Amino acid sequence: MGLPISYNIRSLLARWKSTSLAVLGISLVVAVFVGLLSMASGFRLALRATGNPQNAIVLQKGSQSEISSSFIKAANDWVAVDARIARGAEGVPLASPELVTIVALPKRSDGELSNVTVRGVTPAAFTVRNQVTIIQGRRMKPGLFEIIVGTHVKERIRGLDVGSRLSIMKHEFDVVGIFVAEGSSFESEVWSDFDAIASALNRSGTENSLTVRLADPSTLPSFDLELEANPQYQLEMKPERQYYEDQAGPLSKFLRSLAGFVSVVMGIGAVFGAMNTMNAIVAARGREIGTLRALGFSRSSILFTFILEGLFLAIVGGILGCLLAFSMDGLNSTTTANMGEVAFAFRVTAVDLVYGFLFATAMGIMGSLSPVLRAAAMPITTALREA
Amino acid sequence: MRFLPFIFKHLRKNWIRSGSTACAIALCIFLFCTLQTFVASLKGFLGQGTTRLITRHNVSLVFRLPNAYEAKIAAVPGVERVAVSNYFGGMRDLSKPADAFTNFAIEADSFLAMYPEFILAEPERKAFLEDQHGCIIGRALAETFHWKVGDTIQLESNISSYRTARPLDFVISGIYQTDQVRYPGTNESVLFFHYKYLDEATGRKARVSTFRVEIAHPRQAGVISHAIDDLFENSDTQTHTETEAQYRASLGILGGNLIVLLNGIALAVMFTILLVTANTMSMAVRERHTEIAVLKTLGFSNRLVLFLILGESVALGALGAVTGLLLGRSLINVLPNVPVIGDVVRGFPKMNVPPQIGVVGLGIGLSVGLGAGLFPSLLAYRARITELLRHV
Repeated sequence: MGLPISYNIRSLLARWKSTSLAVLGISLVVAVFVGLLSMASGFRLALRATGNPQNAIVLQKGSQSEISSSFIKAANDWVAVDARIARGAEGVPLASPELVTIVALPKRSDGELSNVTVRGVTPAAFTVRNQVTIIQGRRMKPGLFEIIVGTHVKERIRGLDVGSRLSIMKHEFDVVGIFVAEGSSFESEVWSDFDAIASALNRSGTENSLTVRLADPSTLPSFDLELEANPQYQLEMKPERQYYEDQAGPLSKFLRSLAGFVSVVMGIGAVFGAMNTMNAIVAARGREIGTLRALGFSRSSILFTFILEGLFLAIVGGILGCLLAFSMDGLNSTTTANMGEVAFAFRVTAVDLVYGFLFATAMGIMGSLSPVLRAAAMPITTALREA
Repeated sequence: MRFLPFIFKHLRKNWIRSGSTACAIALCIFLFCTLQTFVASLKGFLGQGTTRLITRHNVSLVFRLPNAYEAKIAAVPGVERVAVSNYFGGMRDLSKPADAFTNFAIEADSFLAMYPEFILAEPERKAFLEDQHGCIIGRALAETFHWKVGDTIQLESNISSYRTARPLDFVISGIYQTDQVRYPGTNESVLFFHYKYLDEATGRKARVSTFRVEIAHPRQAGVISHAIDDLFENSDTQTHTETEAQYRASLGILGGNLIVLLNGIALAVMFTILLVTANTMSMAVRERHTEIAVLKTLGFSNRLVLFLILGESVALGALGAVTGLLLGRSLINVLPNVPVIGDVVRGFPKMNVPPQIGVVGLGIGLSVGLGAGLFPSLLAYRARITELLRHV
């Protein structure tokens, strides 16, 4: 026969001071754990949102990023005519040649320089990357020295409001619009007209990357093999999403390992804390346990009920910790990916919460195991004799 | 002093509780010290090189400067030395990004003279300077790839403009050591080779990513930076000169954010141990009501009772802190081999907990003990004998 759950809850409430200390301890550990995970998630999600699953990016073979890649227009034209690339209105291939560079610009906050990615695009970019939406002003006109600015850049960098001017390599560009891009890393970029930036950088005839919309994404591996087999142009093709996720890789990995390290060490500390509380709970109730046993409750049901009590502690701590972590949701941070600064927000994902919760549960069970085993093993007579 | 045995007897009486509390404190102090050591080395690293400036293209690092600028910069009053340093992006196999490591093409003679961080044995230094295909690597890099002096390696750049018909060949002339106490955070996983080799291999088209400029006095940094940038103000290619600290801050992954993050964690850690210890102490006092009443009856003053409980709590804190510090000392060598955790630790140069941080850790242990014992001991101080005796 089992003991009613209300028995455990009332017992925890009777020792509310000790209970709340243990709960707080667990919740802090869970909060730190979930907070670090959410930072990694936020960064990964920002870069993930940048890649469209239908798109593929063509780079110079062996270059790990757009910045270091470069190929000539002939290579671009050879790829763009391929039938596997989706067509838009009037049969134009959905292929966006891009020139990518980094420009150091002063931050709004302290005037220190920050590396901003500047991307030269043709009108095709807006169909291939359909997450880009102008929220103020208009798009740049082809052939003109005009730029549009991602919202994150506009917030972070001085003098990039609509109507102001930006000088790149002694060429003046007019800011004509502000855009959002579904939280992706494009929002940390400045976009200009392809030919305008090419002439400013003196790089006409070359490009850094070509992003294409595939009619059928499953054709990508064979397409890539064909590109790589061509010795003349030395190209390779990757899923766009994978390309951006790879850029997030090192930092995400670092944050996840940091989360692992910090939480394991803190977690063991919190297990000791929970153990103390459960020890006290058990020790203070020697006579009670004896009485329960005398009344006919079995050892296993006593074991179960005390583990349940430990679990309650942990679950409340876990919930509190997740709530604490939620206060970090949306917190802004920046980091460097591909030399350019990328803004991202902490994102507490469902998976992070589940991990946090499981972690709390494990702490609760581990903390209550040894005191509870002792309690259950105690002979009735000894238990009853205890104070 | 003569009450120490009394205090220890109490701690021993409920040794499971004392032990687990001390363990919790130890783990947290260990974590605190490890994180703070990392923060200190990060800060030390970011603040280094006050006598070095970096001149780059004024638009950004992606663009390069003409080689002819070197002589002009060297002629600026106050400039001691100038060295070219280009990030090469060389990889052993371009299709294996996981194997990538940092490598720079440098003007070795002047570069090594202004970077005492990289310590080379004299014969190895000489061998490196004499061999145009020579390179030097960090200790950690040598360990990762099992390289030794005399080995030959091939590298191909992932940067378009450094692509040559065939990969560049290098001979390892030496393995540099670092001094993490004097120069915290010095990267032990870099390969340096001769800029001249790169320039010739690319048909004199390498140009210059950064000029490292050594100056005589840190306080001249601002003046000289302006003087250098003014030199090229009216030319086609303008420069941007800043101190190495500013340069690092502009590059740093997470940079200042990371320090804030780690400090936040440290704060949470401290709070957690405070909670655990407070819990223990309040339990210790609660179960000892009768005993405290007896002590007071026997003539122990309220104050002495307060100090006895505080003493017990502080002793617990000290015990935990010392264990934590010892743990830190011994784990520093073990950690890099532990899966998951090893990945984090290995990325950074080997660090020992510096004495200052150890002292802070000990201080935190003691103050946590003090803070945790405060409430319970005050309760014991105030409680009247009759009240204490009434509870069983």
